[in-house]
Amino acid sequence: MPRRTISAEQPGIRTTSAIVPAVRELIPHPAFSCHIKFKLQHSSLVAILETMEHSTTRGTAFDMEEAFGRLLGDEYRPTGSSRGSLYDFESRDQQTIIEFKASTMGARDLRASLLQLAIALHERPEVARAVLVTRLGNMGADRMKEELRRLEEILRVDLAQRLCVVAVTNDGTVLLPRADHELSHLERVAQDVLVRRSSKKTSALWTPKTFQIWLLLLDAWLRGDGPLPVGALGSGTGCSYPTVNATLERLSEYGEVMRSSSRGAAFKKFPKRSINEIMVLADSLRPATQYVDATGRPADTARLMRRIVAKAPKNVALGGVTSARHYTPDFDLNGIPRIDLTVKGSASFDWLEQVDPALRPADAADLRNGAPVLVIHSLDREEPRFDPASDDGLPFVGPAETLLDLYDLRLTVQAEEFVRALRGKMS
Amino acid sequence: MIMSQALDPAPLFALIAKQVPEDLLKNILVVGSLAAAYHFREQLAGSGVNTKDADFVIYPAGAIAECRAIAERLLDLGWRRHKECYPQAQPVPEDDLRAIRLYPPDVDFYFIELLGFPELGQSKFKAWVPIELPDGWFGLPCFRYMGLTRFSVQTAAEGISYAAPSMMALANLLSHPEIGTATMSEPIGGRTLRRSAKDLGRVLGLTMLSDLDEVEAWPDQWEPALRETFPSECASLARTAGSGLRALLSDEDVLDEARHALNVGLLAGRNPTNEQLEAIGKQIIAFAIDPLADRFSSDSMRK
Repeated sequence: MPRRTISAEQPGIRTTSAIVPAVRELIPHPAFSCHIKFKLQHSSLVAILETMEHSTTRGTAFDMEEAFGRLLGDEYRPTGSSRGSLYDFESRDQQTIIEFKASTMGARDLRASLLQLAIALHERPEVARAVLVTRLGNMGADRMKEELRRLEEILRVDLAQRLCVVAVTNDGTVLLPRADHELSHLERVAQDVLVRRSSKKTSALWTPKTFQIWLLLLDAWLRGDGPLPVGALGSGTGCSYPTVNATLERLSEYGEVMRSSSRGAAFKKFPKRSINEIMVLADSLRPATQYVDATGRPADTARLMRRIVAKAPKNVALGGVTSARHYTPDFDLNGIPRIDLTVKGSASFDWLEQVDPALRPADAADLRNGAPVLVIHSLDREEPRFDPASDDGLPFVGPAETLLDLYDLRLTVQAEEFVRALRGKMS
Repeated sequence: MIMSQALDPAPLFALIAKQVPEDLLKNILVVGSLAAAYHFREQLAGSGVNTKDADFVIYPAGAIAECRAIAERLLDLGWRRHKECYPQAQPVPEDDLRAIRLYPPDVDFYFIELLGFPELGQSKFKAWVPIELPDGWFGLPCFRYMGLTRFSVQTAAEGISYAAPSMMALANLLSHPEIGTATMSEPIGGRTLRRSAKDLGRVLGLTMLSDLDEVEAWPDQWEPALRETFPSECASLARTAGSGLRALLSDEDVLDEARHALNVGLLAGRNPTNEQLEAIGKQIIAFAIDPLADRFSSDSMRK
């Protein structure tokens, strides 16, 4: 990634909002993702003013700020390039100033933002309150309250009493010092912009490629393989080192991944948070084609399975309940509610005609009327990590894909038991 | 058309078993929708079958004396002739002969029709065999492919023999190598239907009611039946067995006629759709008809 520098000495680069268009001019490609930090000195205080992630495909912090401003209503106006270097919005009665930050990553960022607002309150004694509106990336409500308390202990009383926070955390939204009409209004706007709209940011992490990294880690964890070399994660998924590293860093922030001294990585426990994110995006990360029996007959999955085993090509692996039984013979479920297959590489399923010509892709009406009888996932990964069958039949998908199939089948209890059977416990 | 009520095969079988002399029962083979309704009585949940006539084949071929004895016995017990069942003075011309159709005592909504078994090598699709009863000459219609039904015969609890669904399916497939223009003599469910649509639709109905594992085993029954019944033609018959069905599946109008016939008859109340029947047709082609042709492909190569 080329280094680009914006100097605070450049003409016109004196305010936060001026940084944004300047950075955009530097971005050579619409999909370029960059991480920017800069410093401005003010009096004796040094403040880290902005950390911004920019991605034109998923929305920018700048876009969120604009959206926030629109939703605030006519009672507030953006400060633009006036005294907005320390805050973004002001009420028309000049009683409230608001700093909007799309995300605050960590305690240092939080302190910096609060200090910035404290400076603004010092310079504007007529302002009744300064409100930080933000999403706390990896900080819970209690930690955030503690940080505010620590800051209030060292601030002048009249500054501390006028500092407010509306923070969206993993535990919910926190209003400090307490909820009132105005803060509740800001909370609703923040929920709309930072939660509902920013859910797209989650999908920015999980692409089909990064998902494969995650899947390999999960597969290794379920098998009890130990840390995977970072190089193997890259070669096994076709991902670059920066992509692998960024994925591992994010999973580390979630507290799910541990990095070994020998440049390896592994899940240290069941990755509850990331699997919840991934299941929301499962349709796009793990494309599948669902099939129904066009004859209208009740599904005979046992017979269909026999036909598949007899007719399917060797790049087809058995998943779902069938592979769950392969890995855990005591798998607690009668019959096969649905057949799950994974096909490596080929986009053509012409061989299905030989299995049963009555199978056809399901449409929305089919899915409303009942479950599909067969689901086929496509796997575009060099190393499929299939488990060979003992009888030279079709192989089985790995335990990670098996687990995802079970969740997709809504067999949540069996999925958890599957994990326990392989790992002894869920964590 | 005679408005039909649902015909429950089990009581009729019991009636026949009771009224036909035991030594003659072995000469009766029930075919057609009644045989299918009995075989699939559990799937059909006792709903009976909408049919106005029950086809009884008298076999083996040439069992004229046995046929006469059965007809005379039933008439003695009060069975009544259908209005179209009247004698001719002479056995020829054969096309003037009337089939033996008898109503059971006290029942008017269905009748039994006696059919003859074809001689080995019968080339005509339908031949009439004259049979003389005390009051004159009647005819036994003998259909060329009906001979296949003597294989894999099933036996009802009442001791009556009936044709296996697999063999009825093959007989109907072979009877209609193309759609043709011949229509049923009377409307069915208010519609005039092509005979091929009705009979090939019956094939779809039999497949729909059958377990697919059984359908996959149909070639095991079909092959020896074809070789024994049509020794010089079996390979060509096997290759063309699906031609009429394929034509039906590719013609939406004819397929719909088949659907209508099934909705009124064998599958009354189940209301299969054209899409479902098309899928069923693809299955029997893939699981039974094409494998049958494959078994005879080496025969063709030897020639």
